[in-house]
Amino acid sequence: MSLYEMKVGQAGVILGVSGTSSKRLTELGFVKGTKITVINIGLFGGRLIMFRDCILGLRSTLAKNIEVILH
Amino acid sequence: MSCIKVLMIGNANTGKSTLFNALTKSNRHTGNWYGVTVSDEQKAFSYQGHNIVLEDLPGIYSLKLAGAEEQVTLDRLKSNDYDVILNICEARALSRNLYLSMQLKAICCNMIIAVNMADEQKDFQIDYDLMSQKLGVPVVSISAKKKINLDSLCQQILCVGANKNFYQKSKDIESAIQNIDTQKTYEHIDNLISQIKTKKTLKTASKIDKIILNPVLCLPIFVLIMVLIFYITFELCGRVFSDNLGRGLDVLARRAEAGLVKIGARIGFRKLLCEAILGGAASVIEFLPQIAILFLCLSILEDSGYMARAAYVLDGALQRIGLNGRVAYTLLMGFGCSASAVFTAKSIEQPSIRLKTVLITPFMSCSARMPVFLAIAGVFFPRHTYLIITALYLGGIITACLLAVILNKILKINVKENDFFIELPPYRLPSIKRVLKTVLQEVRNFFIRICTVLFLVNIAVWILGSFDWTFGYVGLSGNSILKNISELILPLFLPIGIIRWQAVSALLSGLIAKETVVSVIATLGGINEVLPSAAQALAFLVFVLLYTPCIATITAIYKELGKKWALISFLIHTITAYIISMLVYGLTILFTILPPNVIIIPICLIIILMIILII
Repeated sequence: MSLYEMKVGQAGVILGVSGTSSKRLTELGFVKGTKITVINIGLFGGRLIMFRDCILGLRSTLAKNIEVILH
Repeated sequence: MSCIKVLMIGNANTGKSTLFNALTKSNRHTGNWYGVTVSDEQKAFSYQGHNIVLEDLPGIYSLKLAGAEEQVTLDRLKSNDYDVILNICEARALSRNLYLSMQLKAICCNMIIAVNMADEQKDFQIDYDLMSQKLGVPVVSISAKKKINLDSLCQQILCVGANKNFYQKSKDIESAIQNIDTQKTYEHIDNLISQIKTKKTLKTASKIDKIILNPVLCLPIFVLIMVLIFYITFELCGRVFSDNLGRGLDVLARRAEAGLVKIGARIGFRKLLCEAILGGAASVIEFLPQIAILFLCLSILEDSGYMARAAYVLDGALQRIGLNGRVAYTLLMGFGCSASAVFTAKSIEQPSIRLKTVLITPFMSCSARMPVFLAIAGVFFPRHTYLIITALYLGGIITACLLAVILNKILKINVKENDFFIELPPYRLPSIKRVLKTVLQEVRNFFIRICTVLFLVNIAVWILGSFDWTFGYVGLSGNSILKNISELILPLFLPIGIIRWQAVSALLSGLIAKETVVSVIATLGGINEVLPSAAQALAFLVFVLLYTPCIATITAIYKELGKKWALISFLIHTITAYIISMLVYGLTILFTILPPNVIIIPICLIIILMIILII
């Protein structure tokens, strides 16, 4: 499933990233096996996630490109 | 005396510039936000008889990425012109920060890791000795803000810098970096972190974020904060400070003139001193409190960590007009000064978004236009000054959004293509010292502008406005050089309701600096003399809001985008201002002669039609 389909409070593990920004995301630490938790779904569909001890806001298009498995 | 060159490299918002300021006693712009520093700066300081040259570089995430900031850092590393790399990490986000450290470690051996904000973290502990041992790099825990442990950091710099047999591990830095396996490096870091850090990480949003980022409440809260800032700045502060200050300055100017009459000063000198220099300066100084308060609010916003939240909240809305959340920061800075806001656009990655941002930023009403609005609206709409000014600011924002949409169409930019992510920093109490320092700096800049630009412009305007072509004194109502020139182009301004040559002169001087619009009006006879009716005043205000950016801003645009775009921006702003103020003037006149309900329906229809056309 994609990160976009996760609900607030759900935790997951990253399987991989795709799309135009995949290199940026990988360099940022979105590598296979990294744990993430969704903590907010924004007004316009953005996702806020807990990731490597920081909070990251993602545009919905990016969230759809991140493949995860529920933890 | 030996000299040690230190490169400061680290992720964004880890406090590099704060550390730079603390060590070199400088005043670089800092903020609780990512990408505040856009240019590098060098400064030396001496420590125990050694000369240490610090170089502050913009924050980066990974040397493998090909952004402009990464390139700056790579070029510096390739130059080999340094002795020590000072890698700054944030204690909280070590598991991401260390990735860059690993890359740096792969190419260079003279390196120190400074773990910043070590004091802020109370819910976990880091074993720095073990970390240093495992990494094979000296590690110092510091707090740049509270100046903790900076002494041992300097000791460490001296110690590592003493190793002059320093070598670059690899000749070809670029391929060495590209050969680093991202997946394996992160796994290695995760493994390391589990050994050195007692783990207790947060899994939910903080209580404040739950409210501020709530899908229903987030926009109302943002609007509320903005309204509050404007209310404090224009209404409260105006009532309390500016009115009294204005009265005081008035009395002072009159006393000065009376004094000069008494000592028998010649009329030309007396008029120059009172009308041009004192009168002009006073008309702007009156609004100093508002400008100071606006900068105070902006820097609190920037330091608290709310700015990044606003960017996250607004991203979805800005996405629709082909911008992103990051742009909100540049636009907000535009309320302070357009020229410096244009420079903050440097760290926007996508070129098309950067271009649009730079072009629309001058529509955000800068603090230099504030005195013009306050003075003119204060005379014509004394009871609704706050409302009129809020409407002007909103008008600027709406025009900026419309221009962004039009640029998307003209340049055929696909708005759906871009991705966006933003890191939200933890909330921090703004440091009173830093906020006050920023405000004082702005107040100082303001006075410097009054003493230099404003002073010269006013004297020039007064001289050109008081003498004719044969340099005979004709007084401000006579047939002066300035009058002749302004009357020559006055017909151009008739459609937007400007019928006095003085207003044209004021607008021309505004090209140099926007504050001079109001000081020149004061010099040339006062607001009531220059703008005869309320409709004309309103059109004039709209024109000042939107017209050609000042020289400093045009120069900034030229540096960011080049000659072509500086010229285009010049034309776009002038033409937009002309069309919109003409519309405003026409509509205001229609309103005053026709009953309101006859007018409102067609106007609403036109507006709806325009919105449909754009969408």
